[in-house]
Amino acid sequence: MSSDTMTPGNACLTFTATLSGSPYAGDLTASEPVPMMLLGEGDYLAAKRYETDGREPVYVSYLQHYALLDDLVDRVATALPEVTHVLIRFHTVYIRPLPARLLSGRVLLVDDPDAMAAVLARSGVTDILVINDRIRRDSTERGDNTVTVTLHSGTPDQARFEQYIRACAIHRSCVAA
Amino acid sequence: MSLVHPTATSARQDALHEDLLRQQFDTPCYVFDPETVGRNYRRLKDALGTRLIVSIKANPDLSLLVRCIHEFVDGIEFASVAELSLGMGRTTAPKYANNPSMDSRFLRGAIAAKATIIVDGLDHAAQILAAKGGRRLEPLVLRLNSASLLRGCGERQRHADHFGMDLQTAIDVGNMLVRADCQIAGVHVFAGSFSFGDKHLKLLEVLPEALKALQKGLNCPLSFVNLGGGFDADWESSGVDFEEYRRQVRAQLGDYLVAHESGRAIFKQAGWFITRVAAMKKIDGTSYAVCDGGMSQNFLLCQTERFAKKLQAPALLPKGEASRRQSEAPIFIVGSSCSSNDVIGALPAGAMTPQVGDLLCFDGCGAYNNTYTPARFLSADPARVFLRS
Repeated sequence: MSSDTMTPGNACLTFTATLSGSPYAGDLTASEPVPMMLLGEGDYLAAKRYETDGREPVYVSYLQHYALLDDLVDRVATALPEVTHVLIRFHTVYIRPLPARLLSGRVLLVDDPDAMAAVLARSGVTDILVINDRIRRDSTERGDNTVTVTLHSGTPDQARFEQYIRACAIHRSCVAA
Repeated sequence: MSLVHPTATSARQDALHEDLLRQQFDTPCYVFDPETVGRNYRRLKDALGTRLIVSIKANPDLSLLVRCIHEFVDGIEFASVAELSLGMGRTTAPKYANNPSMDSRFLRGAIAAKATIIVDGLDHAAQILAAKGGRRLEPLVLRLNSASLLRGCGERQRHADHFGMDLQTAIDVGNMLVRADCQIAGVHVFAGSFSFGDKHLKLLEVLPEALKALQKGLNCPLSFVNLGGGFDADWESSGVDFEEYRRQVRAQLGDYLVAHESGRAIFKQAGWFITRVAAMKKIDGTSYAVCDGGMSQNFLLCQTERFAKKLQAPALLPKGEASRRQSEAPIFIVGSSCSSNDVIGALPAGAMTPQVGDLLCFDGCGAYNNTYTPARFLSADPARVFLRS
């Protein structure tokens, strides 16, 4: 975990890690991926172009990914009650309904949460949690299984932030950067 | 009919059983373990010392593939267009398309996927060329009939099959393909399920001459040999001297890029079938545990294709803490269909007596069990599939 300053008077506490296994070791998860609809030759050509050499394993399903995010948001309410905005990186594919908490008023799913945090900070918002992950949920997805959680705070408290992160499911199988 | 007595459970199985008992899930179901798949792949590849292609027909569950595909570095063999679609967009490892009856949809998909097509015969080659049009194909692989190859050296074949070609047909087909601007990469030989062992050593003896004749007949060099597989899941205790085998492969085929392929050895021990006891009953002293899953979800457990059945003994995972008495005689485990063949296992005398609600966990169900099943029988629901994280 590290601390940094984004704007004068507003500090950042950051947790950066890489998922190195499933945070839900031993749990059963329903087989759920949706096969690609490849109808003709053009579809196969397109899918072929999409393939990459990425060797990062897939450790979580879509639902488990949602659960990880939900857990991070759920724990903010008690661990970091001053947070008014939670910004989460938007992943293109959602194959199941999101948990209600991820659609609540203070949560924003955005393409670039760090840029959005900067915009909010400039407009005077002081306490923002940014969850920026590149966790793979399917081998069609690019990603390196990294996750960065950043707390922008007017009154940063490193011990409290660390306690929050350690309590979250995502921390169970992460290797800190 | 005889019983297979349960072997002592391993620490790995104990951990699985604990995980199953602490969770709620629907039955009948399969549980697949991606970690075990990866471990099995790496161990077999290391033992063989060659490339190892995964035959995905052994377990085409997409969730499992998603979790394991990064392990399958030497490629995947697809036997249908539906299987091929699972691998698309997910890996840059080589793709192989292998089925003697490929329709034009499969062929066109395989060509677009830049898959290596395994050529099975003359008409098959003609169909490939018809699908090819003006496109450039990945170098093709000619499938040689293993029984024919071995017959050539005087080996008597009891289990000849219809796959591939004899050498002269392969030369004719190869020349037809070369004339149509195709390249030939090499050959594919597969001696059949559970064939690994003596038969592979004999194939290694005859292949160099066959390859020489093929290259002469085609007037082009070949670079690739797929020796197939036929490994059982317990290949490590099969008595094969893998060090000697690797030496033979190097000695006989050192000039070629050599691959093996496997499905069963990679997937079988990475899957379990779990069914719940729905009722207990006794007829003239013979006890039965009637379960919510059976041959409609796991046909292979019934062993209807075997002359001598050895019923599998599952692990009993009791519901609740109630004490159980030991059974005095075997308890037959039957499924939910109306077939008298729907006997999927047995608990031996002396085992704990099941009760309604208990789970029965059959191991070694990760390869073929889920797909080699008449799913439409009685319109029964298919088994659910879960991955163990």
